[in-house]
Amino acid sequence: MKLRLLVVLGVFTVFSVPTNGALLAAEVDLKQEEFFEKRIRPLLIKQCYDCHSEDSVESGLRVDSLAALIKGGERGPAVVAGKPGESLLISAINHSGQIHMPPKDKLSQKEISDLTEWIRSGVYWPNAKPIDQFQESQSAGPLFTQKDREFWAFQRPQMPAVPQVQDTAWPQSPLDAFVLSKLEQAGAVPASPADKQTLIRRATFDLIGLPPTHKEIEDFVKDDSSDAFAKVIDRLLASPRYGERWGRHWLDVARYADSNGLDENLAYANAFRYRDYVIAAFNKDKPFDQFVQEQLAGDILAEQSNDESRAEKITATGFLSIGAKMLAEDDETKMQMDIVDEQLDTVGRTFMGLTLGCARCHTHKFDPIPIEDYYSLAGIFKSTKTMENFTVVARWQERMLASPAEIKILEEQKKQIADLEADIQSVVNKADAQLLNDERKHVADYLIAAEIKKHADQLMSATKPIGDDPQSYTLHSAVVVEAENYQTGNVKKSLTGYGEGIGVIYNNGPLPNIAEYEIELPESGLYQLEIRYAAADARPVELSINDQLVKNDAAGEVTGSWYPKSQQWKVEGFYQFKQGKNKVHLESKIPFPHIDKILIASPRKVSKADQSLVADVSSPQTKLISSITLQWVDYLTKNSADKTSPFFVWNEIVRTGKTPEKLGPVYQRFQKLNEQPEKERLIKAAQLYGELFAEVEQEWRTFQQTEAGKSAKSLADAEREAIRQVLSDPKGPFALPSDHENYFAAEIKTQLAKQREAKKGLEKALPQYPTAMAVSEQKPENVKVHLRGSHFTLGKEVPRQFLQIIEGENQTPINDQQSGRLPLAQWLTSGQHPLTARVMVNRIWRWHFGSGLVRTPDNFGKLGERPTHPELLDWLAVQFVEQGWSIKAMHRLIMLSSTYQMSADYNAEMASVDPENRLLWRMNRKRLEAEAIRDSILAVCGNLDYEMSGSMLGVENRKYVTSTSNVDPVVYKTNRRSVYLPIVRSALYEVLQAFDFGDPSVLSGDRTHTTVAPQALFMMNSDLMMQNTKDFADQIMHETHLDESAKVNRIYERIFSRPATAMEITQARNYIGQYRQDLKSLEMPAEEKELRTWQSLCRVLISSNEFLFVN
Amino acid sequence: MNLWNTNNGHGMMSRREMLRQSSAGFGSMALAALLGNNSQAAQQKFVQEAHFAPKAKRVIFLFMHGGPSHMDTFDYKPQLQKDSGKPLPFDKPRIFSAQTGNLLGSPWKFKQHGESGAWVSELFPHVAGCVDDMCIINSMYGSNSRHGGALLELHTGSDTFVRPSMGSWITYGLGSENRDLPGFITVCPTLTHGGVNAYSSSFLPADYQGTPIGNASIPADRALIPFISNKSGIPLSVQRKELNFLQELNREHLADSGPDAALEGRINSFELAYRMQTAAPELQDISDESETTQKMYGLDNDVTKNFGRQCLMARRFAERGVRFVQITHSYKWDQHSGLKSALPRNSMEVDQPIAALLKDLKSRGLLNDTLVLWGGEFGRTPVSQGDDGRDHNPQGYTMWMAGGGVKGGLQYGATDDYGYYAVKNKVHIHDLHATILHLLGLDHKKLTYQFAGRDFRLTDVHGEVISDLFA
Repeated sequence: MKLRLLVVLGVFTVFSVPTNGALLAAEVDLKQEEFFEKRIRPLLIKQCYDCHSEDSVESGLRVDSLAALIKGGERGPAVVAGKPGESLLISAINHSGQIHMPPKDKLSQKEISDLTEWIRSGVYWPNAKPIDQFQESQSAGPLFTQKDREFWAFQRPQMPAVPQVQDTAWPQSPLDAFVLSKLEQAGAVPASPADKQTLIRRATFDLIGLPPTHKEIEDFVKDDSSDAFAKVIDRLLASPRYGERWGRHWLDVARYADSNGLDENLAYANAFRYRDYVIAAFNKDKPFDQFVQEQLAGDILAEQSNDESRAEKITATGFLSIGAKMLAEDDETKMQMDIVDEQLDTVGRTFMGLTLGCARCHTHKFDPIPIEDYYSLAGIFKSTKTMENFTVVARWQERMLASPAEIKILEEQKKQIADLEADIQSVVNKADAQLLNDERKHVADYLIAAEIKKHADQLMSATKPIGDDPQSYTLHSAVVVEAENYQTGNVKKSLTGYGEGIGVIYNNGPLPNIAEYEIELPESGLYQLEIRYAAADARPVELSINDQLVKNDAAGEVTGSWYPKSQQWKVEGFYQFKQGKNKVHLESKIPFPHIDKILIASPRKVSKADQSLVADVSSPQTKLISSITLQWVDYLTKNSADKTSPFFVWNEIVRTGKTPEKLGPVYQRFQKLNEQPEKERLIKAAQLYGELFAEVEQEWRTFQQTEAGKSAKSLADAEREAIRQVLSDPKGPFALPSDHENYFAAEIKTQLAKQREAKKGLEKALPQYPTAMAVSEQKPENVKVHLRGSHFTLGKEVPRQFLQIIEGENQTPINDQQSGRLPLAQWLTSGQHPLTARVMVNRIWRWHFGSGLVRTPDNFGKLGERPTHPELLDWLAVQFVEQGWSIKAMHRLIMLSSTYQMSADYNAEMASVDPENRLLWRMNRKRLEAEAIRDSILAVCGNLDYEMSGSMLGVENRKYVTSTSNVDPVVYKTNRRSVYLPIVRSALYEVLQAFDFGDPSVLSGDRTHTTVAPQALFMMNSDLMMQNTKDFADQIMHETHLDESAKVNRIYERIFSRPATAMEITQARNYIGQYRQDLKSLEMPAEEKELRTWQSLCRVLISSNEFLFVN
Repeated sequence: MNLWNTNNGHGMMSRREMLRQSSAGFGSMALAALLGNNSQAAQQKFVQEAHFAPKAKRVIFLFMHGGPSHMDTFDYKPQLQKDSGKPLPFDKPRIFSAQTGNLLGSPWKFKQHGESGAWVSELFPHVAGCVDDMCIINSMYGSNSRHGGALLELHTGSDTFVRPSMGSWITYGLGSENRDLPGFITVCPTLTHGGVNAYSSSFLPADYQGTPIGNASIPADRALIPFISNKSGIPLSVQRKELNFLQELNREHLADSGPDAALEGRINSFELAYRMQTAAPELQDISDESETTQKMYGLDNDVTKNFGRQCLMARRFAERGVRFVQITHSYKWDQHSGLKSALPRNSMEVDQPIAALLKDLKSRGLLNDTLVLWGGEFGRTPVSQGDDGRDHNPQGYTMWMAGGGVKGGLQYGATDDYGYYAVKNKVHIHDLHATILHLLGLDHKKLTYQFAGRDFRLTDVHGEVISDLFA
């Protein structure tokens, strides 16, 4: 290749020998050549050739010729001569765009500037032809090769001729002829027919996933009519258990789960509606074409009907929505494209057996699916609304299952509520403004009150809890209240565990947590309040006294653990209480610490030495809002060191008793303070501050009235502006306190209460409609090809259309009125599609026989397997469509064949020729699936609960299903069928997981079956086995009319659906006898020993291979 | 295919059937890729043929869930200390998870340690004593800024989809060394941010699924293998007899059915289960460890005893040939706020136990072929979140390795002056995976499995082996 290129260039050079001004040009060239050969070429070789030259052409880019650089790679030209700013190469080496090259360590600054210079000066490359002569190569051949087009899976299935066979007695239907013909070609004979007992056991597990009863077997064995087996099949197909069994098969393909899995694992609490839809669809034999259409486009179909099926059709689209999703992904575009990809990959494999996902980053390596086709289909799903938003944590869409009329009424009601809420808000806002306006007038008082509070806090930090010293209680007139004796509240009381021996309150489910006490005091005055609590983490609560919030981090320290040993008294503060009843209110939006007691007592006397200037100042007369006082304390404390703060002067006076020497112009008025007696200075200073702040506020108001002030954002004078900001700062001392509404005027409080009551009433009256995870149409848009699957490197836009290998290269794209899901569903189910029917009949075959005719049921592409019986597959596919896509008809067709009815008998000769039974020389022996194992254990032990439908998740919608501090809250302790158990991604129920349930995040039409030790441990030790076999044994022991042999026989009948042989009875009785002996020495009531003995027998038989395998 | 038709009169086995009965006891057979879903000839290959001599035989992964701050632990940034409080002088990444403010210097002092003079902060005084055995990678980077995505990426190489985890790939490639124990064990794994996906075998056969022992909400001394405790309330000897009876019935059934590998496999699985049931409690019972050892791991101290026990369990599993052991210090390292109080507490919980593990492995001669890996799903930002916190940072952070053929006393790669971006000798998670596989004698490009139409690798289409880290 390289050689040829050189030759071509060489020839060209000959023709382009310069004629004029050659000498001058040659000189320049020489310089450029030297620069190129010394600086540029070695650099390219060293840094880029590894991945971008002849041997390795990553991203389609080569840098070993100028032609290649100008042509560029997948992302377009790498260099634009003379324009480094437009050259991808330059942005890549600068690591300034999306591409960083070299990917690890950036080139040196010198190297970067060399390459930049080289491009600026015209990308000189020795012996290259002039740039304007480069043409984009037109090498694109046909899109698909002949071989691609001829691949079997893309040919429409044709009704094949039924082959002639030698043994004409064996076939019961054309199906058998296809199988027998192959066997005969191989010189083989089919296994003998299964006996009737085996056959009904097989059919029953196959269709309903449970063992037959002993009676059902007896009836069938006795029935000599020619349609005896057909009757069994019809009976089973009519059972609601059928939908539970086959619906579950489909749920494997639909990667059904009740949580999103992957990261923030949230409950899909409405996913079960899709599951119930699937079960119902199988039970009523919904034609498969309709089933597919509803799952892909039910929402669109629902618009065309207004009957009951509307809700059903919307629910069906849950298929597209229930996939595993990353809901926490900071890159929203990535999240969206990942969700589209998940849908596309699932649709491709579920309905067509095509691994479309492989074409996300590049044209499919094995199958004829160009990357353009992927993005054509991606456009359909990008035009579909699956998510409400893509913010972290993202919300998937749910749709209300109600009629349009009902929804309209609901919307109106909601609007009414919203309007009322707006009214309420405006009343609150107005009152808030009034409140703050009033309080701003009390700057002087708040300053004093804040200092008094600060002082009290200081004292408190020095004081020790009185609670620790019960002997001093009387001295301090202490009142002690047990926390659990609250008058009103919602917190839980614990007298064990965390409250062992003491009794504590802790959190309840719904937040906020509240505990409120009425405490009677003999006289009013300043009291010390203490709380005794234990906490491993800080869980501060809000403390209010008589409706005044006085502390927002009460009981907020860490004492060590949650347990009684870490209980400690802590002083919370000094507060004014009144004579008589006082209300002490604790509230928290997070869980409570574990509170044991509350104490209120007269404080200890403070020594004179601790007193400060503030100590002698008395509380202001004005009624202040204590939460605002707390905000003042915070503010003053935070700004205490700030010399530019408006409170610098104040802080200095508090600290030193004097005004500072240097004062800004605004603060000159404080100068004369020092002349005042020390005692009065603080009060006086506060007054001055009050005046100053009032002045500034007035100034600002006046200013705003003027033309210049109308749009002004601040005052011109910095010092005065700082004061104005203190007054208006939403985080400042006049921030709106959380208990603001307590201070509204009485009539406003009444009005609000009335309005809120009314709103509550309206909310209560709202009709509650269920919602389902569902998709809908959104603005249709085409998608650009994402080169290498990245949304940072977009290629050309492609129309929304179908796979070109099937539908051709000249399609009419989907119009811009719709996403295209309905046309997609119709394309799949037209009956002409080469894959839809084939893939589904193969799935049905797989679920009957344990292996498909195509042994990779989710992959019909080149890397999938070829069908073992291609004609049979086609015949079935054609039958399927002709019989109205009826799945139940396919069951009858398959099960009423000699092929299905063969025994699983071993044949050494065939086993050596065809060990995997590809020729179908016998029936495959199958191990029960996880659900069938659990359901059968429950059934034979007499515990299975047949209730259908509904959710058992037990976690609210969109709430976390698992977290580290909260062990999986989902409860599996139920006797209902396994199909109704919650499927929690990332935390699958251990019983299902142990028996190869598979990963519910990806579809699986071909569950694997492993035999690993944990499965044996499950049989030996699991709670499920222990409980159920115990119940079984208990029932058997109570069948007192039976002797021991009859009891053994009854156990066999229930577990194996057959009576025990005489030898088995002897064997079992010997075992029981031995077991009784072994238990003899144990200290245990006799009845218990007997129970354990029978339990052991049940456990052994249920653990046996005969129970777990179906012949 | 004939390779597997060992028609020895007792029946034959298809490859898949071999897998089905293989359970945890593959030993040296290391059948790797032949355990396919699709019986394709392409799946038939022996790993040992393709790859090279291993330096490590097993891995112990100490996972610090939440994302420990590298600037406060193993990545010394004097310039950050100097410029604390100033704005970051370059752009923050396009994608981030929360708003952040100015640079926040580390509140902790750093010192040089060991002969290598590696810089470690005062938060890890014990581990600092082991730096000469450690290979500290200061230039890690990943692709995802959220716990879920990043945690998956670290464990599986993909931040988007469910893929087999690193432990599954490794056991798939090498098998287990102990016939009585699973090859991949994860102690107290987190249930959140992907949960099972962090140790799931995904589309690899279930044999390679990590076996969880407890979970993050259970103290290590109460964590057990699922179904391992004999709950029948009868003595083991009686349970053994029950098994004998079961096996008798199963053998009769097998004789009636004709040769069948699945039936035989199931008979064997009960024997293995019984052995596991006997071996596991002994393994978890640490009373045979000397008081000195228990003390060394900090089992006598409330702060260190939980993680200390996990470290000790990891050593015991490693000693008994478990291929991949993960222990998790769960979701405590996410300091969006409370950095100053939480980080010292976290570090104190793990520091002494980790140092004990390294020393203990060394003194038993196990460190040579045991690769110890430490780190979280990402690091944290040098800029502050609030006034005492740091946000997630996958752009540059630190992980370290020890033993197993890595160069001790090495500080490899670097972040920028402040610790935001990896800039020198950058190591992507894919590169780390490739390197770990290499140390185990596995070529990350050859350890493949076919699923859903293509070959999958732990490193997808990426990954470079960083041979500078090798001793």
